Amino acid sequence: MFARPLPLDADRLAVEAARRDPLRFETLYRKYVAQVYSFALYETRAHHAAEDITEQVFLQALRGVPTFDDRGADEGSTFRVWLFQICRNVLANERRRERRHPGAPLDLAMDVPGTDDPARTVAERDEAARAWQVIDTLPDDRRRALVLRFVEEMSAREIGEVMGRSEGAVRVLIHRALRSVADGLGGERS
Amino acid sequence: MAMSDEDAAIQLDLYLEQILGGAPTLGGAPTLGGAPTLGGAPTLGGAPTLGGVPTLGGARLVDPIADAGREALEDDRLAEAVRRVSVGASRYHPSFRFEERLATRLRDTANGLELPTDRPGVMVPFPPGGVARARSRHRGGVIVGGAIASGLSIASIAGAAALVVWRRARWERLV
Repeated sequence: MFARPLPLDADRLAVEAARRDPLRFETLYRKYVAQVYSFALYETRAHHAAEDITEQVFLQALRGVPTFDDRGADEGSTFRVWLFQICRNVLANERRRERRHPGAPLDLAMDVPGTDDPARTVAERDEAARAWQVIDTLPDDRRRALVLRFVEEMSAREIGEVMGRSEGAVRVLIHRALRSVADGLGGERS
Repeated sequence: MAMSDEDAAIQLDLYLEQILGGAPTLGGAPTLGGAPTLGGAPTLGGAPTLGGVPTLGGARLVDPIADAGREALEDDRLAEAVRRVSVGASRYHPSFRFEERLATRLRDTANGLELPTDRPGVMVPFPPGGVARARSRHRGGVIVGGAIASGLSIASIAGAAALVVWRRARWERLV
């Protein structure tokens, strides 16, 4: 029987290095810049706004790393959860500061990775675009949970920590969100 | 017996973990040849569990996770929704220009920060499998914000170079 490996936070080494020398924060920045930017883009639907949010998140994180409470995670990274909590706060502040004008929905599924079969690629892209159009109509918490689960590939526990909910509540939220998507697709089949 | 919402949510979550962890099939047949995994942890050899409850017995001994997935997704419409959402879940990358500009700003800020002097040393275990394994397992598409602009720039430079070569060759022939 194999022994269960000890809990290990994937970013503990990099976080410890950044605490000792802030210039080493760049490793964490490079690793997570796309994830934070992507989440901000799904939330704001505007590239420039997403860039602004990303900039604020990493500047806050750099300044906050010395006080960051590294608890160690059973899976994934405590640092990543902390980074997304900062992102959530920055987004909330931005929304409070200026009432966001509803922009045109971002076509989130425009760039589905291609396959060798162009016809299949087009069909898959259309189907995915349709599903993400339905997601766009969901309440914020359901939409956000799906983005964190499918795009950022966070576990239910991590999403719970980012959104301030229990792991069980997040699972139920995602289940209901996907049921809503299924209802919205109305029995469409590939 | 019908599952409660919470049970159905747990089983769906296990199924999503299976898909996002890189399982090749969507509710497909159990794979005896390869080791089925849940978030990278082998589930054969150890005691298979389903939400913490051992599921030894019958077909579940072979692949309890795939079984859980199939149960959770008896509703074909839900399975189809999961498939489409998963296919369309693209991650967006900022433009390289933005990434580098922010990196420079972070370096400048870091240079202005005071180094902590009173923090004692901490022993940190090295990640099993190295740093590469700890990186993101994202399998979806990645769209780079500056890709189109960069492509155009490269095309213009290449075009100008080709024009110069052609004109020089033509001039040499004339002379």
